[in-house]
Amino acid sequence: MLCLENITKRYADGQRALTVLDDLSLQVNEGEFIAITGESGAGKTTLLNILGTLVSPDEGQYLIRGKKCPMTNSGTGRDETERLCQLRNKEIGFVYQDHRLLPQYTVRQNILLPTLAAKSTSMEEEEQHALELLEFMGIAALKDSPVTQLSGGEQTRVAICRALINRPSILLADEPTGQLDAANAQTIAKLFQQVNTQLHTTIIMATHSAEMAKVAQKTYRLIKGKLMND
Amino acid sequence: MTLAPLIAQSRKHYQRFYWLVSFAVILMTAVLTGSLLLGDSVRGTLVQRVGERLGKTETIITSRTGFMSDRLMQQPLLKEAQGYLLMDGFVSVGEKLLPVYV
Repeated sequence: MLCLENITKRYADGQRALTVLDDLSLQVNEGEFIAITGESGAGKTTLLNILGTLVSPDEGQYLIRGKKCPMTNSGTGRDETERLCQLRNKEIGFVYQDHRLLPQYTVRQNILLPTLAAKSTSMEEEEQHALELLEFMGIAALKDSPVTQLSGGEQTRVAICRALINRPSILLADEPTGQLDAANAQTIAKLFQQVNTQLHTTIIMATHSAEMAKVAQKTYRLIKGKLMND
Repeated sequence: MTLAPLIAQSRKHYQRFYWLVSFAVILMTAVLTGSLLLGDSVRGTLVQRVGERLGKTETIITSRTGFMSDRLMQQPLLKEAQGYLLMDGFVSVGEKLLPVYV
């Protein structure tokens, strides 16, 4: 489903270039749950950003369902940019460590925001879908609460609902339990597992936690810009 | 869910911040305008003082480093110019000496 071929990514570090990903290849099949572990600064976030088409690799290519993925280079034409936006909005869901929820809105409004960008035709249907996701995550009672009043674990669940609202086939999670205690992290890990098995969503998760990585079907370790089987 | 109520809600949430920014902009504009007006007024006053002391004066050429050559006064452009010798001096006011140009 997803295929990274010989990806290299460098960042300028003063006068020299810092190679974060070095000739990295990765194959992800439909419905898989993959965990990527590694030390801080190993390049996990960069890898997820490339998978999420937020960052372009310097070398190599990225294929989604066998089609070459448009990249975010400045030379990209308007049609390509539009295609890239559609791809991100419909196919890929993101969950960040710091949730990035908008404090001025309620849980329901935060979850429904991506549907505005997707120009969904039936808002009633989307509202119903949001409610189903909230029930799936066990936080339906909080739908009209301001997100600022929620605990870290509840905010993570809202972020997962928001990532799933446009029914993406790929869910990317960057340290989703980084700010949670062990008990909450375990609950979120189980929810990711349920999303994978019940909604058949392909999940790629970057994590520090070995416990969190255990729920994934495959675990890779990112060392010196290369992926090693764990 | 539509965009309009979201925008209104967002505006309400951040209204204190928006008021603060607006107040800062108004304050800065007032300070800058005041400074410009004051500067213009000071410049006008100085021009007026020069006119009062030196009469109808268009241009003043000075040398801070020393004397000017006599030949300068013979230039056709400076035909109607008046030459002055300007020196540092002191004026006694009570027990104090104030520096002046003479």
